[in-house]
Amino acid sequence: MTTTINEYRAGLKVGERSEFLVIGDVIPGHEEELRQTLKRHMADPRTQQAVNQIGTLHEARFVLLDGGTRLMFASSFDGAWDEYIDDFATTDIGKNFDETWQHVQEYPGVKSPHIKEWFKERTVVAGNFVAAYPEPTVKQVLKALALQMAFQQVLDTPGAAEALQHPALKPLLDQAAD
Amino acid sequence: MTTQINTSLELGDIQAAALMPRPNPYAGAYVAVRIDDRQAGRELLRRLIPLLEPVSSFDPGRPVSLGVGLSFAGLEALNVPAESLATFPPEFQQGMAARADYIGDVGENAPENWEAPLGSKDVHLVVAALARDTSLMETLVRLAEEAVRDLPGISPIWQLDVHVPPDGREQFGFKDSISEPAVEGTGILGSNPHEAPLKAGEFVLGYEDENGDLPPIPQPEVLGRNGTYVAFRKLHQRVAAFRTYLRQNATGDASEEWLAAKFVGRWPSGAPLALAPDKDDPELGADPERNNAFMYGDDPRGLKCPVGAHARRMNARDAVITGEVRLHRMIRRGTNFGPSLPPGVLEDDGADRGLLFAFVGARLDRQFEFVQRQWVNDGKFIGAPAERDPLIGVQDGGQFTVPRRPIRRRLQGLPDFVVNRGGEYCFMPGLRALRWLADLDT
Repeated sequence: MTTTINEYRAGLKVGERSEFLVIGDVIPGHEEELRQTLKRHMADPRTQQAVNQIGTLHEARFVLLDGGTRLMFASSFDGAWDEYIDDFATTDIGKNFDETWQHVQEYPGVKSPHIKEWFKERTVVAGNFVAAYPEPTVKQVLKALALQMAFQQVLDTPGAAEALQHPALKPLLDQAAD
Repeated sequence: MTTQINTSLELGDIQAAALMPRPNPYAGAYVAVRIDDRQAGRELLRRLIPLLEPVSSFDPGRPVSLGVGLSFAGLEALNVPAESLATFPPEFQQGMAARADYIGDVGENAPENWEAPLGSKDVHLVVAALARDTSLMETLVRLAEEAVRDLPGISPIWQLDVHVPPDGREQFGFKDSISEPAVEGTGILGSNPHEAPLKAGEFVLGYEDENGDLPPIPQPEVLGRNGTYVAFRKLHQRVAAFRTYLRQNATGDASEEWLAAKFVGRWPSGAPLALAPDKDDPELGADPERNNAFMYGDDPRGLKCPVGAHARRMNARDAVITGEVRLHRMIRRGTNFGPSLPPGVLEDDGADRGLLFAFVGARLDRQFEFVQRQWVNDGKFIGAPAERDPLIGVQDGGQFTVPRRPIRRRLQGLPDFVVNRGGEYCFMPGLRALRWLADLDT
């Protein structure tokens, strides 16, 4: 049975973050090959690189449902997912997407002019969506972590306490005690 | 310690050793026994039962007191019916050694490195015997000898003599066993007046717990009711390594004692950093009315007591952490074993010294094992994933942060100061349950 949603509805949004969930019907007989593909992508370091390259994807999972007859993709993005799909199509992400979704019925391919419609028709909108930090984007989070690492490195350096006494650095000094 | 007996709990059936605070100082011994003959095992129980006191008639002035627990293998050795054995929780059935990976007893702490027979299926019955002083230990030894006389199917297979010195200090030199939870309905007052008494079901089977539930109780009810679980561990303490580490990492404005207090959360006298942040206060440490009367809510960043300090990890009180502190509280007993390392000595003399730790609670999984996994060997609950308990954690090169102004101090590559040499999970039945076990005719 094919479950489709003909009217496109955007996923729920908290802060900057949107949820995006798609369910498609696996082509009968393709379950095992699909499972192997997911496993291979999980183990492939290029997958992590691709996620970093996207820069707006917080996390995503592929889940085989109903005894392997349906494939669910559940993710959360900064902003809308569909505006960048042409950009992704030319990268490893597009390649991984094709390798995965080709096992789902009627998949047109990431470079198809119909790809957005195809996903939209299969979108299921969440009933509730929460995030611990809904405002910061992926890029902001990564930048904040880099800054935190640099700050901790400074604090581990002899002379840091004296250096942070400059009035201009007071906001940093306030964060330095723990 | 004041006690006001409340009759809603069957205090006449609960072993006093489970709930009652211990005398200080005291001497004692943990003895493990193997039961090769179930009839002899039941006879041993018959001889031990008259020596046990319930909470209701506990006399702190009594010169000696005993507590008795049985491992799952011990219940099997007594030939407890299979349908009853199956009602014990899986972690108890498996025993501490089988849970090693899960609770973080890995590397040097792994069961293959434990002291025999700990971790084997031979540890059946464990007696904890306490006396107010060393001379009374003779009475204990005599009691033990009488209990096993003419019982060829019973073999004492392990013994550890323990003691608490008059100053109550454990081997690293810190006053221990200060924090005690109050248990609702027992009249046992906890040591922190700011902590509401915990529901009895957190510590005794058959009563409502902090979730408003009755924890699962082994069947038949006569066996499970008024029982509790004990997890004991022989923790070897590397006193010389601890002192050496402090010596190497102390700096001009951070003395060895200051650094050690930040690890522990208390000064050597027992004075808590929360109340005495800058220096030891022996008067405070010695005052049972005050030395545990504090919370951490006014110190969210840990500037007085580090959020990762041992004592704060073991009971975060009102501090913001992941989860609910009250669902993971434990009755903790610590007793020294082995000689103390003379003050100032930095060379390891090879002696076997440390602390016999005993947990008492109604839930091995939600209390003891949770604490080992989340509060001892992890740091995510306090926002420090790279940190573990600086005293008793399995470090794996972990770090420890000492918050302070103007900037925090971060210690890297911590060594392990404590190694688990073995332990076991025991069920500590109520007195009726012990009689039921003694009267089995299977």
